[in-house]
Amino acid sequence: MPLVEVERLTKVFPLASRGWKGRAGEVVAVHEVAFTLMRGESLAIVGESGSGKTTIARMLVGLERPTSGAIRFQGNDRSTPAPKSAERRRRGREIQIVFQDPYSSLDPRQRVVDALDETLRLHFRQSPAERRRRVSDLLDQVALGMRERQSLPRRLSGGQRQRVAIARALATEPSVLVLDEAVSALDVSIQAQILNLLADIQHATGIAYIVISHDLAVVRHLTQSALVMYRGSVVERGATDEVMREPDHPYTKLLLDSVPRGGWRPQFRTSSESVDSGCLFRPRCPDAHDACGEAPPLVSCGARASRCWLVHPPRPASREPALTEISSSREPPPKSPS
Amino acid sequence: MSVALLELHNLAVDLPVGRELRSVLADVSLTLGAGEMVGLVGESGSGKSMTARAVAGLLPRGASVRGQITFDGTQLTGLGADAMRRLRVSDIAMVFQDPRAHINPVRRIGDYLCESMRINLGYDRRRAERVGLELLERVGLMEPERRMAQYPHELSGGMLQRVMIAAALAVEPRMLLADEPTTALDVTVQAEILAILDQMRRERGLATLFITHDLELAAAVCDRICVMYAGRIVEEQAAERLYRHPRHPYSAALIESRPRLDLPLDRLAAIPGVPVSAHEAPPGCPFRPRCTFGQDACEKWTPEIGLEQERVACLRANELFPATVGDRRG
Repeated sequence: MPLVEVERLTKVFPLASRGWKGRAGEVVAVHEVAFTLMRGESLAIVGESGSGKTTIARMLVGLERPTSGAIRFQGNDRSTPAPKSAERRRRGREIQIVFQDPYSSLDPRQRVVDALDETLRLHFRQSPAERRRRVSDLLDQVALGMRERQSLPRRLSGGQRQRVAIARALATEPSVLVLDEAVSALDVSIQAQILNLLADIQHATGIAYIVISHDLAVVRHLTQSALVMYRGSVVERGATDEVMREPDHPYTKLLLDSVPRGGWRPQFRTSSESVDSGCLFRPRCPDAHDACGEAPPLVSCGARASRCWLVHPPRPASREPALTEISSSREPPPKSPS
Repeated sequence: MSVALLELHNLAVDLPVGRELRSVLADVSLTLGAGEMVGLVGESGSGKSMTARAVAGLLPRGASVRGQITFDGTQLTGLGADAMRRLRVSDIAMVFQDPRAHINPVRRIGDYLCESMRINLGYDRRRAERVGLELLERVGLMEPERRMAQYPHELSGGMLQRVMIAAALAVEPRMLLADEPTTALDVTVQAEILAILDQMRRERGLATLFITHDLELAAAVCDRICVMYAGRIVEEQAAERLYRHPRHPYSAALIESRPRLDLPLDRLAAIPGVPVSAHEAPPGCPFRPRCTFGQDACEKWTPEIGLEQERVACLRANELFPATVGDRRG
């Protein structure tokens, strides 16, 4: 059984009454996203700002309630709010999160050891001596110096704070850790230290990671499978290494082409207007054509899936046995002549 | 090599913290010619942003500056505030990391864009608006008329950065100080912004000092790169060569510590310890405590780096990373 199952997960945010030209409206932040995560696996969710990746992270840990769809942990639904605090704490022992900014995710008046002690007191029935030992083990695991353990967060560097945030997340012994841009704000040399630390922790504990990042090299380093998202929908999915080596979707190709490298000549583009129907990537797509006025479905072929008429043309061929339609589109699916 | 537009010679800056002066820059020398893009690359505290602020005359009150900053033959150090402001208006433009923090949120894009042209260039409203529309088009913003009437919160970060670049270009500057202009942006938008900067320097010979923490990015877009550590330049080389054949252990370690898209997956060679600023640096080579190749001699050595465009401040550079000039590469 998968550890985490996400089905048709959707989040719609209402816009404040004064939308563009005074119209009230809504924003579909996440649209019918589905994935599964096995024990010890690492899954990446990549995409630009506005792709919905952080909203998914927040729904996974219960900071945001899905509009529709399901999030199950070992078969138990956790997409509706927990009525009792015991249930909320139980959920906290399933999935934990580390945020991007280590400067705002720690209580500025709490010493490192106290922050961890509080988490343990909330979740487990342990004696003070047991808790002290556990705090010390956790901080050993993230290799935080002895002096830093007694300090307030403001005395710590960005990398040290992120170590504390990781230790605090691990304190509840979760099976899944969501890393929401957890290394993005760190200096390059510190980022490498934290990436190695995360690899060591996974090796030692078998914890599963959901890595939310815009940094494709970081994602390739940490994960086995990847979802590429564009404006709320999954546009491509597959083994991380394959997706990065041979991307199918024009958006994934654009992302990879945008990574600076030797001999790179960035392309001048005019900023584009967005569309709300058909293929949402169409205005930026170099290969857009007439068919793209209709929203393409996410079509899977083995572990790979993509949402593009070029990859899976709108012909009867897409009904071949090897290809299954696994997600409906925002628009009614195109009517194929039958 | 043409005559340099900007020349820094042994620039050193101390900033007052409480009662003491703390060193933030030491012995920084570099040149930047018209149409050149030079990258200043480093981690927190390396002094890369402080170098740009020193050039723009935007150091905090009480800062002590030694050495020389020369722009087009004029000494900037010791220049009065008014003269410095005139220079910033006419010749030196700046673009920052976070456009939202630098554009007045309660004024329309058009007002922001036209204000400096009307004040500094004496344009009337109609002319300023016409030039403003042209500029917005040139930085690739669709529907410039509509943008002029919008407020900053109605634009995305990428669009706002285009507006900030348009405003910087309004006065036809000769030099641009770009301080992490793409760090807060998506990779796709980063590529678009860099395409604009690249076009400006090709078409108008704009000299650009490009400040970034991202060595891969600098290697891809700059002509030369200066790597900074603890307030000093520790290495300078042609951009691609530095990326392929770094000669300072710090540059080499920075490149090694980044995960790559094109190499097999391995454990990263992280640099132990944390980056330090100039006033925290130990005596001798500032990188010594984190360096794999450090020796006792490194602690007694006074860091020095020449003035050439191929230079490295490491006692052991010749032995560890022999120079690979042009066709002798291999």
